[in-house]
Amino acid sequence: MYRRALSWLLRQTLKLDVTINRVYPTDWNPLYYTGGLTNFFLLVLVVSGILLFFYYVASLDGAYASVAYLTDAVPYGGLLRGIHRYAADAFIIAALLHLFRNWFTDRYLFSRDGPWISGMFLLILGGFIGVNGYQLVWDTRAQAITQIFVQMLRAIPLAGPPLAHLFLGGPGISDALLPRILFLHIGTASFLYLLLWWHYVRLRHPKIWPPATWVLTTLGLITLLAALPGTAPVAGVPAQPGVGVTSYPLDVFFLLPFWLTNWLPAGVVMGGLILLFLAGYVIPYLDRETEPAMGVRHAGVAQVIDGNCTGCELCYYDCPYDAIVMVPSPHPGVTKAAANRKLLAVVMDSRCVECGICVGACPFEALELPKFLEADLTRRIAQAVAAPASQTVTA
Amino acid sequence: MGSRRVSFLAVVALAGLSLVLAALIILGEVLDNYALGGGALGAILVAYGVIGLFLRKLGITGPRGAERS
Repeated sequence: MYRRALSWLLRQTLKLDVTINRVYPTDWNPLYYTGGLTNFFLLVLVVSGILLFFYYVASLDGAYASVAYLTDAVPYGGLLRGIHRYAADAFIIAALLHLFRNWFTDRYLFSRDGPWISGMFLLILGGFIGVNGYQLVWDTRAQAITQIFVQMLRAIPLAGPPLAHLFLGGPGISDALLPRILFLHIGTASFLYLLLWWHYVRLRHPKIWPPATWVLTTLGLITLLAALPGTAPVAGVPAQPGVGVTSYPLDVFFLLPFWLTNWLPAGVVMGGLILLFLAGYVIPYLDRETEPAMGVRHAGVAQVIDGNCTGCELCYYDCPYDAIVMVPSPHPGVTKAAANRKLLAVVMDSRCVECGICVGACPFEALELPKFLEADLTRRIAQAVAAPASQTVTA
Repeated sequence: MGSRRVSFLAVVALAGLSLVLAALIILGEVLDNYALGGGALGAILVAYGVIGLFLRKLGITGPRGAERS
């Protein structure tokens, strides 16, 4: 059922690709750059966030006034806030498109579980940072979502109450709160770049940046949206401690869980969120192929046969997992071709997925998978070709 | 009308529109109307993005020579 649903989704994804490729050149299809676009929106958020930071006062008395001043009195301040807000929405949209595209096209299995897991962390933290952003304004909406967030935290068994105390900086809301939220907003955003390194580390040619036309178009759309009448984020009503907030504007990309607390207890919403993300982490391990033929994946980390390596770098360029580095050769090779080499290939064990691509890339027989030697493979192929059709050659 | 001609006319029209938008940016600045200036700035960026697409369709910009079939 799950596999059939994914097959259907794969077909629809490819149909969508074909449709878009009729309008845009293939290498400009925006769906091929959902990751790059997410990265671009993150940069827009960082740059606009740094500019906003110069005006922000992280105190209960000063936060709302500083945001209102920035919005109303600073030239282009309201526009800047709008860009920051809509870039955040665009970040989440692009990240979700990226997630679903990689899910539907099977780009999360085996050695790609690393990017998937790191991507889930990026998505969770991206959502968390967005919620923090709404809290920083310290208007009635910020007050309401802070109260609900604390209820959610407290609903976590054992760790919840201490976490809520840590978040608030005391038993209740005080001047210690907003500096903490500001730290969580900026510190976590900085941490995203560390996660991005993890996200990219095993990808040989990650498309980390969209084509110029999409940089211009998306930045333009965000700016246009921020400037349109009625769409610029306005600071609503200052927070009023002790007064219950009954309604506030909803941003569906960040505040949906808070909206759900209209019908569900905060603890249930928190539990649902935790279950949702745990399910996300499990996805790469749900549907692994288990046919005997897949045993080839336990072929052992690729080994360089020192004497044969010529330092030609073919394996280095072909490895899709960035698992081969070229180092200055400490001594000449043994074969005639390797005698004058300047470089030597070295396999990084932690990155090798034992796929054997480097073995195929090397014309000098300088790489082998220890449990799947090239000579054995050649012999088995020869046997398979020579055998009658009714027989099957197995390992 | 051929697709090249359509692309060419689109580039000319968008370039003209961009000129108007550039004037609106200046006007917004003169009038201290930041929404006008910001909106025109956003629109001109979108126009440049679409011009890039049509230039590509015209073959004026595009993949490197080695990548062309």
